[in-house]
Amino acid sequence: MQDEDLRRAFQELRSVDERRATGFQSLLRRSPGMRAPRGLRLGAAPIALGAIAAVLVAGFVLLNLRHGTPHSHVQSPPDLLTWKAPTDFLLETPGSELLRSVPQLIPTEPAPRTGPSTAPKPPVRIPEKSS
Amino acid sequence: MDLRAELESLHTASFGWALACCGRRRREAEDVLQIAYLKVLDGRARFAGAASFRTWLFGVIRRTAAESRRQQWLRTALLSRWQERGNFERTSADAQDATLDDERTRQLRGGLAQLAPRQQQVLHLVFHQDMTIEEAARVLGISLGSARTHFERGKARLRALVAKEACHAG
Repeated sequence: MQDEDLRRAFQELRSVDERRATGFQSLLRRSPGMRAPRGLRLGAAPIALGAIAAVLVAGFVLLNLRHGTPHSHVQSPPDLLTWKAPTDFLLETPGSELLRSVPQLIPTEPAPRTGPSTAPKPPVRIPEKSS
Repeated sequence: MDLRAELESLHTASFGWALACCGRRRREAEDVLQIAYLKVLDGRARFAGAASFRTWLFGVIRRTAAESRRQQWLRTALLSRWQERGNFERTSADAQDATLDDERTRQLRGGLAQLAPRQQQVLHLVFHQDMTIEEAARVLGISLGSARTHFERGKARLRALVAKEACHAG
């Protein structure tokens, strides 16, 4: 079978198809038959799945809000200023308090005033030299 | 451009192409063609003028047929309970079409049905629609080299299949 034979066979097929073709106007006016019946079209399926997913997510969020988040039992971190390490006592050595303060000397009592009187002394006269 | 008039002038050729894209299932082809026409008329598919109107329209029909097949597959998988049985199966109209064919047309149909879809489509566009291989490649969205390969392999296989059918008939 040559190309020309193939072409002739296809032309016969074409003329058959053309004779049996549905008219243009009737094709445009006809109701589409490939759709699923009453609201079960394929386009509805993703919408329905999306709606179900949205309801599930909303339910999950609501449950979490009601019962608290799973991390709510975790304590807040301690204040750094008041925190004390549990092993601090190991640093305490006998007499270590002496290292933290300045030693106090015993204060001496003031001596009684027994010295010379406070009356002004007469000016000392220096003898003049005779020339 | 009067899109409606353009569509009407190409209607018989488009119908043949839709049949080829839908495995010659008449009802499916009618649905695909109707959806493709509506896409063109309501502007969902826009003709940019990069190719001839026929080449572009055939591309729209091919893509619509592919979408229809995917939807049918999904519907079968997800909504099989509500599936309209026999929707895309061969209907009595298809069977009647086949019985009215003469011997050579019947052999050609039989041979075409056994080819790979791409080979069927390239041969249809070249022999049935009198397109060049380049135009066929554009309609199918494949490279020219790929279209040429499908054409040569499909033609060789179709010859063998038609000869085999003829032997069985004789």
